[in-house]
Amino acid sequence: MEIVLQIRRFNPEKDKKPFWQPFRINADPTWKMLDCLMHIKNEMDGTLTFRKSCAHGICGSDAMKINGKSTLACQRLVRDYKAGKFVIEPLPGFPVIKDLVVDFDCFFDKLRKVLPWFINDDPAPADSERIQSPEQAEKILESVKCILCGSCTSSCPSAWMNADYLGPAALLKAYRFIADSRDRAAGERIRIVNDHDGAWRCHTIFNCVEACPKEINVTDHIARLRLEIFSRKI
Amino acid sequence: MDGIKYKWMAPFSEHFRYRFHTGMVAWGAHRLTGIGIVIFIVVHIWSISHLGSGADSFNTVMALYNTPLFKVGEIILYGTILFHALNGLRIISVDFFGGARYHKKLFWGLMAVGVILFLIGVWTMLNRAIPMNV
Amino acid sequence: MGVIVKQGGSDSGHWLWFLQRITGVGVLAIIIIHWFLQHFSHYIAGVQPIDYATVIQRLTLPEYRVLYSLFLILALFHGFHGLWMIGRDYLHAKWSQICLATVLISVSSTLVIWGLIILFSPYSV
Repeated sequence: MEIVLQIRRFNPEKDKKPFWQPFRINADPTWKMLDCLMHIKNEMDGTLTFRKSCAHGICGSDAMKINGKSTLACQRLVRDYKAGKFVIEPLPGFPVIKDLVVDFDCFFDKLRKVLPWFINDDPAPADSERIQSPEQAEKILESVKCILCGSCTSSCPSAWMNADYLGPAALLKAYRFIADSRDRAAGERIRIVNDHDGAWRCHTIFNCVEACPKEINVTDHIARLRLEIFSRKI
Repeated sequence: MDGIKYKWMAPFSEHFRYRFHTGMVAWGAHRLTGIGIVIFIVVHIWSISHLGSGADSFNTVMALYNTPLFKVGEIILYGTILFHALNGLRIISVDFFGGARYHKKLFWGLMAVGVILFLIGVWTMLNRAIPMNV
Repeated sequence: MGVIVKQGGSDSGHWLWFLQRITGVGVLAIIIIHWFLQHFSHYIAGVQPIDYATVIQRLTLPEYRVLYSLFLILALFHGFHGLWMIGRDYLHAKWSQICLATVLISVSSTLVIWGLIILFSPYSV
């Protein structure tokens, strides 16, 4: 079927400001939006620039705004959009480098702030890994699924308005380690997220939950994080 | 950001370029109703302060509140407070009782309760079964 | 970013966050009581218009004055802290936050004092 994709283009070396470019293509309803972009890049305009890698929802490279919502281009099919409109833009809230590629430096800076690595200086048991019970593993099961695609943070109005807000992804990562029974730096991470621009900046808007391609309920985890901070502060 | 007409719009520009979901509409409405209620409180304190100016002054203000315009305003105020209170309960559920898992159902359920309470309240107000001024 | 707080010096925002929720529930409880007092008291005392005489009569009861003082303080905290939260989302320069905090604290304090004066003045019946 023939469809028209409106793509937000911007080449800083040539263009003064971004503009919309329509592309008319023949696409199968089962094509992913990423397939459409690849088709355009291969057959029509090789200068169309976007990130992609695994193309099946694990690497998180191809996060972009499709029809007003942050999502992964490889996880959306043409037939998902019943209205037949296709508006493709870079992720909101991040500086645009070129076309659909945005600058993720700020995103990763904030992630680094919450110490997103395993911290436990006790030596591991000699004859096994660090054991977790099923209940302990269950506690972090959802938050470990995050692929750092940036859909959540880019969809968050609090993140749009406050450049210093840690954002859903960093807060989720903080929770992932705080709630991990094997980690020993919960106290330090709690201190970091216990900030006006940390966990207390979330206004439970829920855009992150709508955007997450791994269907993680990020707001629920931030709420749990806040209760965790609050219970330790009393 | 590009594409905005006036600089003061800058903090809001992305809000209207992103798809609206239930949670975002609830958040925006909660803020707007909150601002409206604060304005009402300020006006209300001012009007009650007329108690200090004697019976005539106070009763004149109360008579003003019996005019149709203010009665409509009272109904709108009631609806505003209902929304803000019920959505506030939803926020508390999300913050303390794990409501994030089912926040949309919670929102629409509370709105349904709100509509019923609103209709009952307006009916009793209009029927003048009870005195109307606040 | 400077840590500008509204009332009550917290260091990270968790107490203000908690108070906003507590005062919200408190205000809701008192509103329900207020609604019944205003609109159903006639079932107890007979239909009464809301005029100077009726209000003054209620205000002579100390419980009434205490209840409404609580209402005043909780509602003004909740409302003005709410305005502060909205303002902080859009104003980032330290001076603008200080300005906003000053205005909000001044206005809300004035309203609390004004309201308490209205509630506790001696009125001639």
